[in-house]
Amino acid sequence: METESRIYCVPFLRRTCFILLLFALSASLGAQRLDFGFNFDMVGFFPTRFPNKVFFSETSYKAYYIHKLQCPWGYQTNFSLSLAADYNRFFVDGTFGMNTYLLDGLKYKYQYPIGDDAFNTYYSRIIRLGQTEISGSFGYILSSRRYMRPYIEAGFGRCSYPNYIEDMSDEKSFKSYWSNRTEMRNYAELDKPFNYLLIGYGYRGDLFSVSARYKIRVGHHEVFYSNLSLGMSVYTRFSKLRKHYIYQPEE
Amino acid sequence: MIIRFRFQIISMFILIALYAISCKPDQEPLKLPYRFDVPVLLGTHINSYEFKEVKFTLDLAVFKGDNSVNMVPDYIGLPDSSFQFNDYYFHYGTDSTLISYQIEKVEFVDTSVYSSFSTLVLIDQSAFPENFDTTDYYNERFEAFNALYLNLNGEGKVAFAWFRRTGSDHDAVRYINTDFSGTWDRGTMLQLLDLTHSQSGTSALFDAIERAIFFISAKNLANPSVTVLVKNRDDGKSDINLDNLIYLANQNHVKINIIWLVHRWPNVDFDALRRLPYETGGFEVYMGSSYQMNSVFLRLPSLLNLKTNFYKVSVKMTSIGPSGFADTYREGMYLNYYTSQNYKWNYIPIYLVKP
Repeated sequence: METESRIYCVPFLRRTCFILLLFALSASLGAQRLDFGFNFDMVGFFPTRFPNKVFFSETSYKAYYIHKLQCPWGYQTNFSLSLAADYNRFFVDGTFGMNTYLLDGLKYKYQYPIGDDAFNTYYSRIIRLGQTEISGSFGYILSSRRYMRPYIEAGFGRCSYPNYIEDMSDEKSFKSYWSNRTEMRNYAELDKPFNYLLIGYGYRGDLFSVSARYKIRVGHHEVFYSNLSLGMSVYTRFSKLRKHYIYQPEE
Repeated sequence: MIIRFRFQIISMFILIALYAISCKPDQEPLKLPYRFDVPVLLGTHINSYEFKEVKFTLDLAVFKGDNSVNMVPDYIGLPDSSFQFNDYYFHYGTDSTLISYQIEKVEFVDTSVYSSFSTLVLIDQSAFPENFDTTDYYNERFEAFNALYLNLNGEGKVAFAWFRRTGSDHDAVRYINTDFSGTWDRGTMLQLLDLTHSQSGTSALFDAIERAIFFISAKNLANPSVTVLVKNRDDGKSDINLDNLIYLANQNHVKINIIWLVHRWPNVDFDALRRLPYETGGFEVYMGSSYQMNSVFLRLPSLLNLKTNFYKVSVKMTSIGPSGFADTYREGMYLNYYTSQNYKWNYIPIYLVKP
């Protein structure tokens, strides 16, 4: 049995440093304001589409029927720090976060055919601990005449290797379960780092914002995986730049 | 400006510390399905066949359903006392005759005959008088088929088909893959997954085996055989009878292997189950539990290539009384033994024909 473990941190570090340097540069190039933020995503939806109606177990010789479209959701505790540089109505945002991706884990349902034309129903619970992510986005303030200014944003990000745990149960509550039954680890590929496309919509005040960010996994993956997070942020004016240059409606 | 750069340096330092701990875990091998011990009758040899005494030898492979290891090993070290026949009295009018058995010798030998095989796995999908729900409610057989297909390791080629009769149709076989393949195919397994929900009709056993013999002999393959997973007896509507079926198999050099799993023995045709493998050179497995199916199918490549250890059990059967043995004789041997956990027994139906 192969026992070699590979450390994948080097490429990721390179990207991380690159993005941070980009922001350092943009800030130095005359941003009108630089904000430091603390973000908290409390609710997450995970629209997932499996390409086939059957997938083969990765621990046993079974195969399961799976509903192609599933959307587990629940409460999560995704914390992140962000740095935003404003240029009039545009802004550049860089975020670094540490995620839980649902406190109860991502639960996917699938079934195995048994006698009497019945099915045994099983659930896989995927927990990704300590998964960090970094993203960069460009935003645009749609209207600057309100106290909470609506904005849209788009960008890219990357999630790192998580500490991946997958359990299996025949009850959704997981009161009893088979631990470490990784039935869909290679199929869903949620144990691997991935890049994502980010689009978002939110309302931003001087010190506070609420937002919805939709992240779509990109790259060569069999399973379509995305994450809609609802969260809030607290901003602190990090620099004493010229706030009146932006946002202030003309008097 | 100084504060801004200090913050960025601190951020980078935190990032480096967090990302440095990311590692990829290893992939573990698939866990074999839960399984029980199973005996397989590889062959029966008549040494002498007299009116009052018959001597014969049984070639019996026993596979161990040891779930603590991820393989199905040969059962080594069974004591001679494990192989048992029941003596009995045969009454005819006022006469009574004692039929007595004596195990003369048990040898543990190994064999390796063929380098490859081609077998058509023929699955009985009939639902009358009984269906698989009575014996394999949790669909163990899909795991058994999948395990066989994934673990062929180039030892041979397999095709899958199933049969049942609805109405009076004689063309009762449906082929899942028509090309014999030694490598796992996703499409084939997808069609095998839900067979448990498509059981109906009666068993066209003889018609199906006949079609299967024509199918495999037309391919001109090495070491061809038809491995039938039997659930019910032939419904009597087949075009061909048992004698002609055996003749056809021998004429085309196709061995018939019988694996049967039933809830009630009267639902199967013992004569057919015994004679088909005995007279065509195949093997026979009777399973009392669906968990034995996993052991059988995982060892199917070694059974079909006859690359296995087996027990050679020499038996003397005597008749004490006025009656003797007819030209054909049907009997069964019991395999009884204790393990560290519990007592186990299995039944092996046998068939003897005077040469």
